Amino acid sequence: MQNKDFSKQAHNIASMVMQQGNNKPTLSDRIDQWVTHPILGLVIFAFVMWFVFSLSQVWIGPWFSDTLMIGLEAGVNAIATLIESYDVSVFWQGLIIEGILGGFIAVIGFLPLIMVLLFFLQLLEDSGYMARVALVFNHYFSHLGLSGASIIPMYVGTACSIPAILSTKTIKDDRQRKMTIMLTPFVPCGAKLPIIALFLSVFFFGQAYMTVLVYALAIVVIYISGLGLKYIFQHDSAHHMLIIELPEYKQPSILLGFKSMIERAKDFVKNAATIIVLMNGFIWLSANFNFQFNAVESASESILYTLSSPLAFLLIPLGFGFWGFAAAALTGFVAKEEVVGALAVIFVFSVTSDFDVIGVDSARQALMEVGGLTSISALSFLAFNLFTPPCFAAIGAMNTELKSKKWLMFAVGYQLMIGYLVAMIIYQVGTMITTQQLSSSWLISLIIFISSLAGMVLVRQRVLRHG
Amino acid sequence: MADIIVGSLVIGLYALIVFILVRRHKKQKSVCARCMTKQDTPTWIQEYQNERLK
Repeated sequence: MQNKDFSKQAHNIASMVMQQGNNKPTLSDRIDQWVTHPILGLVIFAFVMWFVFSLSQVWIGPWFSDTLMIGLEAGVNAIATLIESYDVSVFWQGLIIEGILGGFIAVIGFLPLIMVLLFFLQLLEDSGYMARVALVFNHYFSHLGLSGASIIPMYVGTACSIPAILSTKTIKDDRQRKMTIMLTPFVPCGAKLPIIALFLSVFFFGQAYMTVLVYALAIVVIYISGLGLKYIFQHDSAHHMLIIELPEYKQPSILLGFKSMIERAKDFVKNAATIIVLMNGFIWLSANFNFQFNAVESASESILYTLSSPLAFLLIPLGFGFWGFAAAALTGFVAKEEVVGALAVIFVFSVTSDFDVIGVDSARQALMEVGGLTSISALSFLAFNLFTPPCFAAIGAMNTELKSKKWLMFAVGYQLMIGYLVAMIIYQVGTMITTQQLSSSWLISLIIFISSLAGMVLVRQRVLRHG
Repeated sequence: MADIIVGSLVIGLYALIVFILVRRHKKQKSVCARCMTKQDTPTWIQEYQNERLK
């Protein structure tokens, strides 16, 4: 109602101050009528994204990726031969080849796909199209009681959640700002791209529409969890219109796209060469040794198994109750790319006796045969990693902006609940559709689902009492 | 002997990584929110944010 009043007032003011003259709509205006349309705009956006993902993951990206992998494998084999020729002990050979290089290459292997994607996204941005997309989504998010300004952090969040969360400073309404901080990490950031690329290329290769569906799922999750927050907060503050100056459409600069792609790729490699290498070493050590630091015969005697198996038990209703997945998901809190590196280190250890570099085929074999993953539980694991709380650095940014430990705990708890429930629903419903029968964990899943809803009602009552 | 050389190289590499990460962490802390939003951010968003931060 308030929105309509604002629109009416804005229209009246505009008609009073506008000079009558040659008001013929320009070509840009005519295009905007289509691309910013609430429904048609979404369809056009879905098609554009499908085309971009097809280019990056099916048509162009894999060629670059395969070429890079051949080079990397040759490099690793050369290092392995060199180390062996100097009679270096098995411990150091394993740590270097399986731990450090294996995990690093698994992450870097997806770099070409990501670079092609970033290049085309930059072209779209430079053309002026992405600003129109923000307008399309603003229409939907206004139903959540979110300010138009909330769409900007979410857009920034497609690159990284940290600047996105920090940019919520510009939202004046406190509840809207808190809601935006909690919802922004659900937007798949750049660090989550290798996880998406790994699971979709292993289980759904050549089906670019699956990537569009993953992003569509992210939008649905943001919308539904936004409704959940609106219910808990009893939030119904006025919607502030998103007033932005739309950039003119222009021919995108190939050079700018290339420069932007190189910059982002540099950041990606820097991260992989530091934090990922560091983490992979620790994972290899903890997966190969016990607490007395003796080499283990079987992974089930290792430090990593002991630490991650209690969590793995909790993941059974999600379809991936194998300790390796629990350990990989935990490492994602350090950096989301590390999930891929950790899976490579853990599963290459389990599958091969010789030193092998992970590729799509060996990844499929490892994840399916050792981890017991199906395409449905793979989607569930992907969703779990996309929608559970972000990395520690982003949680730190949430802490800075929420300015309260109580709110931070609520935000992290809420994100954990949403990630868990989304993964559980995908697995349970997916299993029911594909096998025509209920999974063995359907009853516990139902209890968890009802308990989560009851928990939300209780939190809402607490908010009503204490504000 | 080979073990000592390879081991020293690996430990050296890890020490270097930890040094880089600590330095990066300190640097990041000193970056203000406005600068962070400017990193890799399209012009229309920068203009919008700056207008609202005024």
